[in-house]
Amino acid sequence: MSAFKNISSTGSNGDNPLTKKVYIAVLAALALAVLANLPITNQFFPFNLIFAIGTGGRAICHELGHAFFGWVFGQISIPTPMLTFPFEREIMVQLVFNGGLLFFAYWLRDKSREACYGIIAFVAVMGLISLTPYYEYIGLYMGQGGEALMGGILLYIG
Amino acid sequence: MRWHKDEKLSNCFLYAFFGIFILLDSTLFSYNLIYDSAAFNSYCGKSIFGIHNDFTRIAETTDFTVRSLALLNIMNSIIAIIAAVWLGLEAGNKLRAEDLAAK
Repeated sequence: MSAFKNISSTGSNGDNPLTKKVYIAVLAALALAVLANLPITNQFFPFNLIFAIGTGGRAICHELGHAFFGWVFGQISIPTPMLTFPFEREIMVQLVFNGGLLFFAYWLRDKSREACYGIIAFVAVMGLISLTPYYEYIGLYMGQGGEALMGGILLYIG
Repeated sequence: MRWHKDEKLSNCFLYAFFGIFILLDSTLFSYNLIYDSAAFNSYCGKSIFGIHNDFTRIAETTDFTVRSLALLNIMNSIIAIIAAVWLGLEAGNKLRAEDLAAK
């Protein structure tokens, strides 16, 4: 519960106006996202416009999810706003891409030890999965999974 | 793109909005696949350039069904929301503690 223990002391009693503003901004973002998503309200301006822009962003996250996991499993994947074009699987592409991820983990070793270990574990698990036929299903599923991942990352940054 | 004179607050709003929007849109899409048979039939019958949709393609060759994959997607979104809020609050608390220590 450590994440929640300081909210009441610094957020809601008003001793830190920036924190209070941050909570208001997040609540406003939540309200706008709900209004733009609900079928009852998203037929009207400006929610229909916001919905169209947001859906475009979601489609890009979806295709980037497919493309990223395609590269992880050694397929050169070209994402477009509608589809991702995967090419044949090449072991060289897989080695180079995963080598790049491991180099990124090495670069992160002093900045964030958790992220460094996380990337190494990810590369190891994906390397094992790539030896089985299940890699194809993971590549397919990670369109939707990529949306959840990107949504979570954006919410965390916010 | 600035929506407020405070750039940090403006960025916070935009990132939070897009994060919540994507998670909510994805969850509603999956919810419709499970409970709305019209949406389910439309999704499963849809094909772009002869390529079936992701869930349909997985369901064709595994024991998973489109609805079970949709349920898995809802669970993923809920986990992503909980993790993002949890980690975000912890990072915020850490920043505030550093700020107080500096003062």
